[in-house]
Amino acid sequence: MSVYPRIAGRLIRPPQALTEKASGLFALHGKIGQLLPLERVLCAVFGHEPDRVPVTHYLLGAARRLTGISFEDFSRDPEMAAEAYMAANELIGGDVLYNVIDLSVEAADFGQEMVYPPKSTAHPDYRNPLIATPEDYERLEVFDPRKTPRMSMCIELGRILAKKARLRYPVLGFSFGPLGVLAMMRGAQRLFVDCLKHPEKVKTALEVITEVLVDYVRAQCDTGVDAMMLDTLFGSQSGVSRDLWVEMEGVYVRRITDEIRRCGALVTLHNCGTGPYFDLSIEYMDPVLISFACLPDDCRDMAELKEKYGKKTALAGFVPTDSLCIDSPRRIMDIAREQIRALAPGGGFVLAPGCEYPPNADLTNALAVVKAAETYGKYPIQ
Amino acid sequence: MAPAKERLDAIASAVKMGSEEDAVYRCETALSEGISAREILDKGLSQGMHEAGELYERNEYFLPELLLASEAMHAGIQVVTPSLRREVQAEERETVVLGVVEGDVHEIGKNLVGVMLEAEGYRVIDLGYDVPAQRFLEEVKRSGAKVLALSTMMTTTIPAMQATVEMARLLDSQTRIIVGGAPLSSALAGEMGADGYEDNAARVPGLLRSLLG
Repeated sequence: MSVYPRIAGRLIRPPQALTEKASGLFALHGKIGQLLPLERVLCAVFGHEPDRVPVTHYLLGAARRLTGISFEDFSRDPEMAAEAYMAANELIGGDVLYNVIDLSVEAADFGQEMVYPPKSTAHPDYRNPLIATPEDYERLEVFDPRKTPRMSMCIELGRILAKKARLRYPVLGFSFGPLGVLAMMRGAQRLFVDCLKHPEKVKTALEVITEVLVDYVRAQCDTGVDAMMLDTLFGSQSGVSRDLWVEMEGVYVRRITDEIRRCGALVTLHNCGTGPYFDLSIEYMDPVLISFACLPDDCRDMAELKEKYGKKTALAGFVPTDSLCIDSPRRIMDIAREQIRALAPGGGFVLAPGCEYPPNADLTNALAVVKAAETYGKYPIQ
Repeated sequence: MAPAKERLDAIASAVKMGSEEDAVYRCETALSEGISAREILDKGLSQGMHEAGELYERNEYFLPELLLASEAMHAGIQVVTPSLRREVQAEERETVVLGVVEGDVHEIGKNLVGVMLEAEGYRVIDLGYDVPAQRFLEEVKRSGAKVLALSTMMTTTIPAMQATVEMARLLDSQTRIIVGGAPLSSALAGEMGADGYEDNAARVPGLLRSLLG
């Protein structure tokens, strides 16, 4: 049971305009008292200054270490994964919960064989890709994600988290973008070449994947998650060109984000590529928040990023993951302070790593990220 | 008959445009007209790949275009290889042992580095992905490689990369070690003990030139 009521089995959510208005009231409350994480995040997402900068550590696989479960249990058991995620927020801190397991969830349910390494994140068996030849793109079939092992697990994880979070934490559902899902079944290198050599065959598969993902986000929204996060990694300079991204993902992912909004949930986006295409992402997905690891392709520095996009979407980022692996907590806090000073004034900023917290890295730096938000993120920003 | 330069420029253009069929046809034509395989490789195929790399560096090309160019170059290399073997001793070129470290299967970046180095005339021994440290070291020893190039895209396999670098250092201090991949930085590479780091495949030949003198 999520916090949203049901009428005739249908989840009833407040319209986004009402949530936006409420976030203004939270901002007023934040000037005199401490906000709950949900209130804090909503304030930031809708461009208000909360009591302090919201923060997330992106502990995914790393969270399992807090409850002592294996990578495989984390990848397959929604109860265990939910416990790990709750432990991460309770022990480390953090204002957001999410049901992300890994980037192979969707591909696995299309039939891609998986590898579950004992000390690393689950991934496709790239020696045995489901789409071995360009002809195989036409073999993908639509299915019900509620009835397949990994996607149903994530749906269930969202349901558990939404129930546990109540009104305290916002819960984000997650889905890889259509092109990313396809890369997990074909291999990114072959997919990139196929996009140029066999575009129509690739599009046949993207149609099927999109239909499944539309249903997948619908099922996740129905569990009561507050928002969905889509990962459109290839919409960046480390993926494909701007035109090719529009042709091969933009037009498909738009259908998915339309469905998320139709379900009443918020649309957020993650893109940890180099030089992400913020302008195209906003044009095709209109997210309330973009989580990123690198500056957009059309911005030279953080000041330009804030100026150009700060009013169009909230920003979440972007402590470098390599720093989280090797730098001291002091250095992490310094990096975070610099980002808070540049991006947090006026609201619209969530402090976060640029991508998943390295699963086997020392967790001290996750604490440093949270501590930085608490120390340097109090509004008004000094 | 067209002048040799025109033929070689057309080969370079076919590679740059990623046209496999055109590259093959033009290489066959050039060979039949008596242009040496070495010239076709250096001034045609490699030049085309070099130009594609420049476009990639300027963000005018992206991974798909670069990969297509590399396919065209490889198709052309297949055509000229028999003649090339007669013309060139492999020993003339420096050897690079290349691979993705154990536990990681992401190989686009590694493959592009291999293509860029081949285009510059290096002899590349590509060990593929998920390569144990011992396999790298055996190949460096067997081939007498001057450079060991390691790649990873995951933070979870950074320890495997570090272990490979440390073992290589213990066994042979002469081999230059370069690393690359999304979770790395020059600081992290330095901490590992690598001699060089590059985040762009097109710039790796330049890195090797500076390391090897």
